[in-house]
Amino acid sequence: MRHEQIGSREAFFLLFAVLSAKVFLSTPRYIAEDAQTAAWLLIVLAALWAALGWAIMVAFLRRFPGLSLIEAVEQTLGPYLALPVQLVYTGLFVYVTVVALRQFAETVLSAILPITPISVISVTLLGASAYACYLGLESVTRTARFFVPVVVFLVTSLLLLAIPSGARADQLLPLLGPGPVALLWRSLQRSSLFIEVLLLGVLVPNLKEPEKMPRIGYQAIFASALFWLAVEVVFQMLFPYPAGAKNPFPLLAVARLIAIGRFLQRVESFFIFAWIFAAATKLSGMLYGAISSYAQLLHLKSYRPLTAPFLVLVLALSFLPSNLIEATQWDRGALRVWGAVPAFAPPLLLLGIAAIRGKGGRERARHKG
Amino acid sequence: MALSSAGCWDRSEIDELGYILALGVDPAPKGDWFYTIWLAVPRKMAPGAGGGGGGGAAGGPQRSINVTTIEAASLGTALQMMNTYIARRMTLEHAKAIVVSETQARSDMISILASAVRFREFRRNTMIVVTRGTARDFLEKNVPSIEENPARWLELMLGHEAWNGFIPRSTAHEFLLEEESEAMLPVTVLAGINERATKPLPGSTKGSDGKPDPSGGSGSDQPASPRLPPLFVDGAYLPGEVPRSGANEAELIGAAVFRGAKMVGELNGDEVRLTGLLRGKARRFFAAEPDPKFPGYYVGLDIRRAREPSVRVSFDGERPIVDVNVRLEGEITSIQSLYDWTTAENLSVLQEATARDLQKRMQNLVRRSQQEFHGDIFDFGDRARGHFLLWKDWADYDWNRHFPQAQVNLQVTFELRRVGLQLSPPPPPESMPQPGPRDQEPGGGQEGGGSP
Repeated sequence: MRHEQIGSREAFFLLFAVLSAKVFLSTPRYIAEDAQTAAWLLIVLAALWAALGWAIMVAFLRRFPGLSLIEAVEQTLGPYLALPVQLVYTGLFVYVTVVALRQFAETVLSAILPITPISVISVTLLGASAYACYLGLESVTRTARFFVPVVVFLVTSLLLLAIPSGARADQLLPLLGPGPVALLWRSLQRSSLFIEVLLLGVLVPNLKEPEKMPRIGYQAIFASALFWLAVEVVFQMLFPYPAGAKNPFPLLAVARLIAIGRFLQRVESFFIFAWIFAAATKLSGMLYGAISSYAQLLHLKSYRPLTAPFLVLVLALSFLPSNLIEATQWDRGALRVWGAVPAFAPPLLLLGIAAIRGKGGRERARHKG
Repeated sequence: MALSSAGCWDRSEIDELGYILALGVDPAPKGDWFYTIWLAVPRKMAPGAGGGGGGGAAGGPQRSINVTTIEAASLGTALQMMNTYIARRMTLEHAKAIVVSETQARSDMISILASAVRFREFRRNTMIVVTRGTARDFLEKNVPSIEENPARWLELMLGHEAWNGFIPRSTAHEFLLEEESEAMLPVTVLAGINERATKPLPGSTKGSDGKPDPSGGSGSDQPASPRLPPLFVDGAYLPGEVPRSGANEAELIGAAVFRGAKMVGELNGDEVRLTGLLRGKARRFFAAEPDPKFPGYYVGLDIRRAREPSVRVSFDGERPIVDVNVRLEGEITSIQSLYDWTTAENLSVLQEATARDLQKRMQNLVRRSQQEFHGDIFDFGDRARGHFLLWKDWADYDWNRHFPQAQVNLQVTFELRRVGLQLSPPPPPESMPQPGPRDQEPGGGQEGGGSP
């Protein structure tokens, strides 16, 4: 397949966008529910676990320089045994896209446009994202590079403006929330919150400087964790546990609290801009990951013909959950508990298999020699 | 999405919506609710429209709002049922306050608020007001005398907690957080109708013979004598009891205290100020402090918070020990006795006496919170959270259960920084009583609500 080339900075922004967009959904709420007053600590620990998972992924991919995750799996296991593993990765990208689309659409419906049919919102969001995918990876990454600073600026402004509305640091106490053991276990599960970093594994052949791939991944994980930490801390200072764990749209609730003087009120409209930018960027990034990984799996010369079928597939699957609660359960109860297993466990196994079979690394060096 | 929101399903024209400025909730006999609303009449609120918030009975031609009541089982159906006689679609997006009757507040407050915050149009920074009597009565008789826009009246009144401290800040957001918090008891604004506001104040008029009204005396021919009892505390009123005449019958003063989402007591205006000082919320207010040398005379002070109060919590076993240091500063605004309090020595006497008086009143209030409300209305509990590492331990401790046994050590320091635009006052008239002994114990604060 012909690969478009993107710089490491574009890759970072894309990865940051797909990792961070979930702060606009109900993720801060269920993190608060998991970790009580230590939600910020859970995010830190989850990021560390995710970095460990990424390190394993990097170790595996380093044996296959210039190859994507899909191609490296095929090199290790062969074309037939690799197929189920490759489909798992494609399926993960599809699942994340489906869940994100449905949650974003439900949030728009609940908060802004209650009468508009959900299909209109879903088609609009996904259609725009799919069009960006069709135009190419460069369109997706350059859009991310443009929108991410805007989103970060808007959210940071929102958080700073919300602090005078009653934020209190003592609401972050007691420090350890449910206790160290519970925190460690839940943070291990919630490392699933960072599985979107797999997208970088699929984009390796597209990187102008593939040797920077590990660093880009670590930077994206920790930058998004820091962004998320800021959101979670301000959210908990304003909506302390247990009340905060009952709010389905944390960032929107924070935006609606802003009332400085009589003039600066009702600023959630700015927040909605950030929300839509983040949603569109995430959807386009993850959709690209799904389409590209499947195209690699099929050894297609171009991924573009798959755009329309994947659009229909994601749209159809997004309507499977009956309601917002079920859609959130698909995310919180399934993906963000067990997602790390299919994301990070296979590279560990594959690394071992590749080493045993002598695939990649020394094999290439031997062949070159 | 822009197209669909601008022109399709969720489109709303401004003149199709009925803007509810305040919502009142009373229990109805059948187990449902009476919902009373202030519905804005925008054309009468425009400058020069001549509508005005005042004049006329509820819903009369002069008012810039319409007041209507409907009985329904839920808020959503109530708003839609109003469309059987009001053309515009009701919206709560601009509601400034929810008014709940005291009867309902003493029975169940949380179900009303929990329903409201779930509704998309409702904003969590809407103020919560508990009214003595019915909410319907409060909204019907509340006729602002100056503001054409009653929403403006609400905004200004409810913002007074920073200016005079007679009411607490109580939004739906804060109430729900405090109610679920393990650390304190929530309070809300207390309101009521002052039936006496339409009559002259006792003693303020002369009788038909031209002599001072025997019911009180105008005081003009009386010899100078203490006009107030020694233990008088200005502002120590509940709604409906403020001694005044004229203007709007509605009053907002004091607070309702809640425990377990039910109202369990009231604080008068002075107690709310003291609570605000202890919580670190009150910033500045005018007060009349007993003159240390002249019982019955008072010194007007402009009291301000010098710093956030310092609150430290420690534990003696299970028993909390709370050390509170309240630092205030102020300025003399008036001296009724015309004694020269502006010398350095006398300033020191006055500020110490004021500090002692405030400390004593705060101590009485703390005792009341412990013995009557059985909980912490001062938010000391949040300072205790740091002593626990796990949430479960903090929740199991149940601060409000232990606070009645807490030892609360109060320290109030008060510094008089300025004396106004006059140094020594003019010499007093000969009829003025002579000063009493120095360092005379000042009048203590009144406990509880009620008139002087």
